[in-house]
Amino acid sequence: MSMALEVIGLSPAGLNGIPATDPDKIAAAERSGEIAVELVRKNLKPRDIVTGKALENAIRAVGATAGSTNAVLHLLAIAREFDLPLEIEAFERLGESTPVIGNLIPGGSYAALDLYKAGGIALVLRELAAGDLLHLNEQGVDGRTMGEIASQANERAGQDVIRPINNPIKKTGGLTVLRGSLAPEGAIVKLAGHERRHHSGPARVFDSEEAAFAAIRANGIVAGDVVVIRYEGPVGGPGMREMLAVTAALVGQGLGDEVALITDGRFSGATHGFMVAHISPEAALGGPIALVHEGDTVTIDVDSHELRIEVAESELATRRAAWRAPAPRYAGGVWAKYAALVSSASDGAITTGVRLAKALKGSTDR
Amino acid sequence: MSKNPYDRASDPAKRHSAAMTDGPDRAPARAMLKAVGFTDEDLAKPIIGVATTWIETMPCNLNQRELAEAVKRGIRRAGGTPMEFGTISVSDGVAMGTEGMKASLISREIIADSIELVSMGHSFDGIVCLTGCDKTSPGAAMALGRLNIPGLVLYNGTILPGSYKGKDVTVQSVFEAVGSYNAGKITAEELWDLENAA
Repeated sequence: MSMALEVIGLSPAGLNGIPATDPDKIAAAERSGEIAVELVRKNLKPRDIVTGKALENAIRAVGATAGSTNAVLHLLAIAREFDLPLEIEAFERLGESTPVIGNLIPGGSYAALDLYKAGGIALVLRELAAGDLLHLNEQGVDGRTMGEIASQANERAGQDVIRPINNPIKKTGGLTVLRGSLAPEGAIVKLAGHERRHHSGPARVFDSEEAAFAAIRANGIVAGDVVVIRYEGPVGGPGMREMLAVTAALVGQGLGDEVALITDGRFSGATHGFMVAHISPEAALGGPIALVHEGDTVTIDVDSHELRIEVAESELATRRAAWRAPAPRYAGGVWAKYAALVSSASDGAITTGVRLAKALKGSTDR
Repeated sequence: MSKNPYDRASDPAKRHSAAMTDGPDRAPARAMLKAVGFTDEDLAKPIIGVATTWIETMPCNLNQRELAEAVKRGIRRAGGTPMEFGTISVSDGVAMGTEGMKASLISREIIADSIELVSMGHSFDGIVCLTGCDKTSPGAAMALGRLNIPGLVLYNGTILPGSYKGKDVTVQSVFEAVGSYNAGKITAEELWDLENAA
């Protein structure tokens, strides 16, 4: 997200990437303080800077660097807090037309530190501009436009972290959107670090991360399986846990290329493999992922953007009629408060969204 | 004849904070702020909040107090008055795989809420948010969107990888090594060495 914040203009360009222990970070912090006062003098506000085009730039930059699925959730949330329209489809539309040029972990070879040494985010902007994939006139907090930042990029000779836009690592982005009978409101699939586009296999169903992790530890998952982890969504968890321990355990067992995993929870940026997250609606709200039975065939097909269950609609209707919402995992405290307000992952999982609006409407109806 | 101490033109850039600091009615607030150490000159300038997400539960945010001092120097140099405050953060790397991981995304909302509340509560004219790991950067951006007062986010910088058998290793390497250990591919000693190196 540190890159995305520079690209949407809220962080001074080039300053986020300076490593924590680099003496230049202190100067960057001093400069940031000065910029803040300049912004106050000019009365240049965040909503003047973050526009729909700025969000598109950020989505492109995230795609070009094979950024994490969390970036989708956060950009959807940021858009809503700025009152800007942004639907999950934007990540498909822009992701599919943005080549991956960043050779970055977990799918690639280099870390954030290497990107900084190679020339930083300005290089990404320069290549996006070269591919006519950047809105050049969007402004950042330091007063420069994205076009100016791109043109002032300072590339270290021989660097291999950011490829030229015409010689990408992959022709399309590191993630895209799926829909279908298991995700009517959308889901995100990771495409970085592997070439898999299709997987069909038996569902191995777990109603919590712990249950899935225990099965993997006991060597209970085999090649071909589709690991389903549900009731881990924004409301169900609550809080959409990241399944890194599970996905890393699968990779550690050598199953990373042989299985798929789908969840209404989240993934860490460090997760890699053929993995689908943010399935909406979530299980706790009666989403179809709640209706999957052990052994059902689940299909992930990236080319048709589909996540589907190979079970007849009549059977699904029977299951839907029999489904009962489980009792909330927590009766009070911050968990319960959050679960009562949080919106779906396809709406950024914010607490100031549609469910709050509904609660407010209820309070005036009384 | 002494001049009325409250008879002082307000800086036009104090779009919000003038309501907190200017005029005789605000004497109680000024008394509180002077007890912190702020002077009349400080309070006549635009007031910029400096939010940190400093916490001792992870390495990722540890430099923020030092960076906050630098941000404050920059603010003073440019003619503003900084007021530092802390918000929360939750380490994904530490919480991962436990019930505590449910706190991670929730923390994003609390970070946004707390930056919003402190800034509204103290009539800041601007805001600088220092962020580090995980949900702190999006939380800060969301707060800026809600507040819409001039401001920015500065990420405190990536932490350095460790080195194990000549290769760079991070906490991601350790997560995957847990899977390798459980599959019998590495020994407990190798896992422990990696944990200490990453």
